[in-house]
Amino acid sequence: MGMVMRPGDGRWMRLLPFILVGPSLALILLLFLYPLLRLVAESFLDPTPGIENYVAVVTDPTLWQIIETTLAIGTECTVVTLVLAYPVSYLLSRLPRSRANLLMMFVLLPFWTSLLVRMYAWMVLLGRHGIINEAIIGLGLSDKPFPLLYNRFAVVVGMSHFLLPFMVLSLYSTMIGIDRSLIEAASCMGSTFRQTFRRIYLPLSLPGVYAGCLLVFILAMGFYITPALLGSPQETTISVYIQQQIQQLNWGEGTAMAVVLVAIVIGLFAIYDRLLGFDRLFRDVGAR
Amino acid sequence: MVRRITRERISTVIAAAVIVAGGMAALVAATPAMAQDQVVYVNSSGGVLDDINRSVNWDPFTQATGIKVVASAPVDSAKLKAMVTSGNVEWDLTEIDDGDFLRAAKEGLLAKLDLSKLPTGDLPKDAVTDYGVWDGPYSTILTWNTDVFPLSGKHPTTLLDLWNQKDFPGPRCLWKDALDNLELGALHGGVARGNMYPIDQDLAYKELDKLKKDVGVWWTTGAQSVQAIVNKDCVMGTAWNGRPYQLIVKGEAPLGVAWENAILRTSWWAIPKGAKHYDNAIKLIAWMQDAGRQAEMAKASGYAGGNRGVAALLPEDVRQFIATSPAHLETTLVVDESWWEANGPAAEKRFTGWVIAK
Repeated sequence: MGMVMRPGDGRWMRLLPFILVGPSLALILLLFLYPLLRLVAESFLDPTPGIENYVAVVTDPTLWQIIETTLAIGTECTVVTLVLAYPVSYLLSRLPRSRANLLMMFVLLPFWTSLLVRMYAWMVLLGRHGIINEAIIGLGLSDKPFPLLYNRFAVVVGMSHFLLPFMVLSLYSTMIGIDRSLIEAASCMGSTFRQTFRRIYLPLSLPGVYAGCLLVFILAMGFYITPALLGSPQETTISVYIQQQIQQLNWGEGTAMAVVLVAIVIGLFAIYDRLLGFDRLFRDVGAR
Repeated sequence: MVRRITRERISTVIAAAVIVAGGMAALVAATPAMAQDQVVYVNSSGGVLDDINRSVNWDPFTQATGIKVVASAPVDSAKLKAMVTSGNVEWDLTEIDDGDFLRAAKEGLLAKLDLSKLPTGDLPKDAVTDYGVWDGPYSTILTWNTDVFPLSGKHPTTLLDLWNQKDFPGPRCLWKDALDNLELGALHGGVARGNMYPIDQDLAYKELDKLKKDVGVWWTTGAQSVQAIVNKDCVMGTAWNGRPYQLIVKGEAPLGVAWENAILRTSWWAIPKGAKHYDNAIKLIAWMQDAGRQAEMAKASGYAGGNRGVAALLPEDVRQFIATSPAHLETTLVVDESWWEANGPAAEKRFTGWVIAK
């Protein structure tokens, strides 16, 4: 969105961007930044001023195990959604507009249902006597039910189900901008499908891949309900642990853990930036 | 496609934004004016218990006094603390459990009750303190699927049967909390009920380690505790006594219950400090202590309040499901809430570390 400013514009027009952004910025500062700072302050002040909460939190072996679990689940969900979303986004970007819109509606349909309802639906599907197991046993494929629920499998399935549209949309927004003539030119020059994909299409789609992975991973780190409902205690994520501290009115340690979580995520951001560069997310891909 | 951004268009947009903002501000400012005095905000467990409370207690209260009862859920002591410390108290009355209740009173989050307005004569001495009135005692009991262990055959009779894989094989369901599980572990380790507190946690965990591999589901909500057994994700497990009762009494589920070695504690009604409708809340507490209404609650939910006259009003088949029936109390352990108030956070942390370990 380019706003063309002419030299004759008055002072009022030059201030315009700030006037327009002002209310939103004030809202963010008030409703987001201020509570965040209060939270950080709480971690240093409750019950007595000092860093004792951080000492307690950092030396808690349970916390580090939970962080490890959270990172592992986040990574698994990112990989699963990427693998599932890539072909779907590719198809969506190649279809004519009307068909693509219809399929896009199906991709976005989960957004219109409650997350909790979806979680309970997964419990019905995956339980020991749930629909899937009953079908497997009924068809004679096995005489014992598979443990599909209350474990890592169920958590990754449930979370990926929720996160898939984010990955699809991320990839789609990049893929739709990939210039098809480049692909055609490559095959004109004798390139096989595999070569074209590996050397032309894949690199062009990478900004969408990076953006999608970042988005999905960050969202996965904050998940609370799905690991709590569908997983075993081995799938305890850090949000669950923080919630426990808050529930016990142990706010000093709970907020300290939250700050540690934010620090870890920022650290991952920094690594991401160092390896891949943020500007890649916004690179304009091909001209249409 | 760059349209000329003319001065008129900008003015229109800004004018629209100001009008919208002004409208919203007016709405927000007007809301307190719409608050009535004839209302009381109650916070409780929600779900099916709220439905029962509504038909037995709250709607009749509104009919009798004209005070509207607005309910919210769930019980959340962190939310209580946030409300009271920020000065924006939404609730007039809240349900709150044992250890949390003591902790909240200690932190100064609860208002002192005007005991002269409450029927303290009908209630046992323990059921009323300066800060709260019994909502009702409830027990953790054993429940199992009667399709797997029919009542006609060999079936579990005590909570310690959780460890009995020989007679009753299959996965178990336990509450994902240190409370109850530490007591159960210690009981299985041979500690007598009178000597339970302070709890020997090392012994408890030694016993729980024997049980851990058999646990199929660590439940976190009351509904989940019975649902998992009905679904046969577990064959037996712990549950709060009202839950299996509510399904059994409706004939909806193949559940059996065992009371030996049950673990009893109470939930309380308390008024947050700074509540806006203190008088209405006191009236509602007094209203809910009526023996007849408590008997109705007990028949529907399995949870009875403190009124001494309730037991006499209950038919025998309901009385056997009430946590405080004399027959049950003989083999029931009563939780020491002050131990949990002091040691709760540390115990829960240790439990979390134990339960997530492989």
